[in-house]
Amino acid sequence: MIQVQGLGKKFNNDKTSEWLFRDLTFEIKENETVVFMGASGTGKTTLLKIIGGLLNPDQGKIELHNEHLGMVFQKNALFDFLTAEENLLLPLTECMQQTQIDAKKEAQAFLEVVGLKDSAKLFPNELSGGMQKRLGVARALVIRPKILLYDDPTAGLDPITSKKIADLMIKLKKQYQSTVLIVTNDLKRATQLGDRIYLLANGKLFGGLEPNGFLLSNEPHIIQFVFGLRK
Amino acid sequence: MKWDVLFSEFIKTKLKTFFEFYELLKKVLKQVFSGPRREHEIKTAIVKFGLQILPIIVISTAFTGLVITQEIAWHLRESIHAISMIPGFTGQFVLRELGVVIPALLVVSNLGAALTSEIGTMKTTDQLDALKLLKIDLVSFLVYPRFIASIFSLVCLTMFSIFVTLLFALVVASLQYNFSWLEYLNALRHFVGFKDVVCAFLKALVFGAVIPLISCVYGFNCKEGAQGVGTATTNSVVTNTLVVIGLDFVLTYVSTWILGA
Repeated sequence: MIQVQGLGKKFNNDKTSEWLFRDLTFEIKENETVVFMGASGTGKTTLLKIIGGLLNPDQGKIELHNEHLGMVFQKNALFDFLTAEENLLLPLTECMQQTQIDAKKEAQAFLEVVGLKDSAKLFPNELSGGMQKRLGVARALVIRPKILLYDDPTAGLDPITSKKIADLMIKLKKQYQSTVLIVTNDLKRATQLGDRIYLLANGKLFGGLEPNGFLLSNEPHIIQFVFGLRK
Repeated sequence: MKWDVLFSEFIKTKLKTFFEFYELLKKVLKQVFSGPRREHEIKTAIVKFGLQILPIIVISTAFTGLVITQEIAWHLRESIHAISMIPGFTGQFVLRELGVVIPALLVVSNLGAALTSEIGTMKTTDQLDALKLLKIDLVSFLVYPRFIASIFSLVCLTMFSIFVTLLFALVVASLQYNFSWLEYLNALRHFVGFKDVVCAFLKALVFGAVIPLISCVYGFNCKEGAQGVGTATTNSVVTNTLVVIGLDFVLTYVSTWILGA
């Protein structure tokens, strides 16, 4: 489904700049959920944006067997000049070319799925953090993507809301059968959501193991990350 | 850093901005002829562009009308000891310069700045990335409606501002210099022709086209953070102001040459 070969990205685009990461090679199968973990600034979001086609790599290539992508952004990236309902109507009418009537029905259905039916007429800045995240998930899913990218979906949320978002992600994954890539620092959520977990550290990937295997790994970088040890 | 390095960096940046402006203009003009029309977005932008700024333009141009009549009267009295040409001089000056440039500069400082900061904020909060991922064309969705709305609004605002300026000039002329309304309008008609109106219309059209494009270029190139948005907005307003003043000179020269206006 997703094949990444020798991927590399520099800090800046100039030739003299240092590598943020390089020679990353991995494969993600259809309907698989893969989690990328790592300390702040290791390039997890950059990796996700390269896969999403928002950034160009400085090295390597990515093959997507299906380019129908959706993404939930770390800061939600909701269109602040549109209401919650209009945030869903826009992709439906622009991207899916639906009529206004059909789009409205579908938008309302999606708002109900994510529990925001009563907030349809509110603007993003009138919603709580958890509600904004759910709206972000709904906006990404409304175009029925085959690959869904989550950039730190539980960042800044309290444990209860964080669990609610994770449960919603599991429910929607089952419902829409999509391949999911998640970037997070939250080990608990990573083990709950991921079929496999990678660690991005020192510009390289480690792991790619099932949650239990990842937690029990002997790889020094993983041990250091999981148990919060310093070198 | 040395001055020559700074200067070459400055030239490089300005050239880059110019080429980006040119690319944006090409894309927008292509959409003008091939669609999609985006009527709903254009109407929304016209309301935002036109109606929001209308009170500011009325106040500014009304005062301009009051001031310009007094200034012209003083100069005429000092130089030729006659004030009979107040309507002619006022009409020419308002139609060719003030009635066009003042609304354009107000649009730059108000709506141009708002447009740059809006797009800049959308960039820094990943909203532009979200649009790209949804395969929504940024130029078609964000720039084109504002481009059309700006042209339409600025042409209307210019005609309205000329009317308001002349109206207030007429009020001062009649109250302070004893012109009757009929006398003033007759003198105005004698000095101001259709060519002057065409000149004003063309200037408004060009300013209306240029301002949103420059504002959008700076918005798209905005750097991260609040400081990035602030810098982009300042640069956008400065560039737009200089371009409006420069283009005003060029268009005045060209219209005098072609239209004899």
